[in-house]
Amino acid sequence: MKATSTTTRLLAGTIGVLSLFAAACGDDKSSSPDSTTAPAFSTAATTAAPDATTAETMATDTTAAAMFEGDLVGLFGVAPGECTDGVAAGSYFRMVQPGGTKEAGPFIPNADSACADTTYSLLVAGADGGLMTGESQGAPDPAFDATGDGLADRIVAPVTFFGVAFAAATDPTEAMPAISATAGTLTGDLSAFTAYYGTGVFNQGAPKPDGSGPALSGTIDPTSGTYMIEWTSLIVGGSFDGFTGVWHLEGQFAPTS
Amino acid sequence: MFNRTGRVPVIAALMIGIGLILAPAIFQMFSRAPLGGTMIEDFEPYMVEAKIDTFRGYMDQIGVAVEQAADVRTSMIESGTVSMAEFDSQYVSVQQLTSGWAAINADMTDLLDRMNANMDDYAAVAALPPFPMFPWFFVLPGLLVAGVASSILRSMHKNRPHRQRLWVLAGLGVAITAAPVAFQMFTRAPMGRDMIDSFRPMMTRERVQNVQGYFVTLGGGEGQMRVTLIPAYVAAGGDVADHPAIAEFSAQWPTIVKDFNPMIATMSDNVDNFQAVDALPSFALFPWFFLVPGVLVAGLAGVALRRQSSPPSHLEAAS
Repeated sequence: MKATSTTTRLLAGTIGVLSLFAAACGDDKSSSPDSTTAPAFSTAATTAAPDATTAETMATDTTAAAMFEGDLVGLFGVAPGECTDGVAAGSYFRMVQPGGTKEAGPFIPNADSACADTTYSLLVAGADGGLMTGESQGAPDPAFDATGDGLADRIVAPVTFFGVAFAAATDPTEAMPAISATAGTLTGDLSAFTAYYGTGVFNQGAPKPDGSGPALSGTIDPTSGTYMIEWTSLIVGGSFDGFTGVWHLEGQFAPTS
Repeated sequence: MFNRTGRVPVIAALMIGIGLILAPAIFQMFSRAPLGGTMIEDFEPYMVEAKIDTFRGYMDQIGVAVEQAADVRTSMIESGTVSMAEFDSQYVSVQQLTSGWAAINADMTDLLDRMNANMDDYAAVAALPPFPMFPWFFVLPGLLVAGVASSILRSMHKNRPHRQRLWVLAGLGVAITAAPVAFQMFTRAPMGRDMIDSFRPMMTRERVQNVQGYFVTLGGGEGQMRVTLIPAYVAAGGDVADHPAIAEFSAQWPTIVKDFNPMIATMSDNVDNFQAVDALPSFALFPWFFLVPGVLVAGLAGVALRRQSSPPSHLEAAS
């Protein structure tokens, strides 16, 4: 009996120590009030910008990595394209000739490009500062001036290409632009993305409005919102039938407040 | 008792009527004819003399600019500003334009020539009834002929009077015969055939892609002349006033793009439409598709009328 009671006490003591140890080493997220903040914050990106207090809380919380997760509704700010040492950075556009690929080209050289490699046409933010999700950024009516220059200037400023300005907009008659993030990877629907050039209107969506074609790809830093989106879109019909636009946007995402 | 031999021409007329009904389906007219109509509509802005002349003017202007770009190249090489190899590598788009211009000009001129030569043919085809109605020009008369013929056969079977309907059948035959004349098909349809024959070499995907490629060559050359070549030429002491066509080309280029862009788009978007029309029976045959059945139906109705008027033979009477 003595041995039994000693064993029982030892067992009870061991369980108690293990319980205390487990409690001490347990995940703070599961017990602290902050544990509810993290998932709440991750969805907050879809609706509202974090306020300063919440941001401070997040800064001290390891779960802040989930800040830009889920549906990202807001402005994908367009960082201006630039060429340094012949390498394009920031936001740019390229056009692949029929039969080519985005990896190997052949690309159309644009003599009006600011890059030494003239196959890159650099983009700068338009009047809205970039691409908006959850809202269309349609082209004005008329969409062209008398010389055929595209006038849409909300997403990016019109870019001179072969002596004529092309412009971009999201067609309000197509699906609303939508992008979501999952662990830093971006997916979404930019089927409404449309280019305007030389009085021609070219869908440049990813995927195409009928769901065909490749989707966009991209990444976002879950804590900072720094993103990169890239997509290709085959031109179907019109004067550039068979050519493929390559769009590369970089910048900072800001959720709608 | 009904006249069995009198049935034969009516049955033949019924078969012709059914043939007319089926013809559009056999030739896929319901899908192809509207595409032809779309093509005719799309080409309308370009099938006018003034537009063709405008394009020819652009080609002439570009031609002079290309010549002067070649002069600039010669001048820069002779002055030692650049070597031949340096010029051709630094101004590769200009070089592609100057070296490729002869082929571009020849091909585009051929294209414009074809359009110009077919303006009357185009007008004749455009004056035909709307293309989407074409299949119904077969189906509706076919239905009428088949319906009347069936009705006559039923009456014959029941020994009911049907002489008036035989006259109606004859009238239908005459109307079908007259249709090509009313629509001036005998003059217009062969012109449509000529246009289709003439457009066939230019309305191919390969040809359209070539034209798209010319646009890239022209745009690349113009841009490089404007952005890099001419500034380099001036920096080396050259005088742009000696080569005014280059600046004129650059000044005109946005307008050229604005005009060429929709034309290339029209060509590109109508390759499939053209091929659909080309797959239809030859335009020249279309009047005969009405004339022959019309004559046959009228003739068969006449034969049936004649037989009905004749007294039955002793064999027919016995039966």
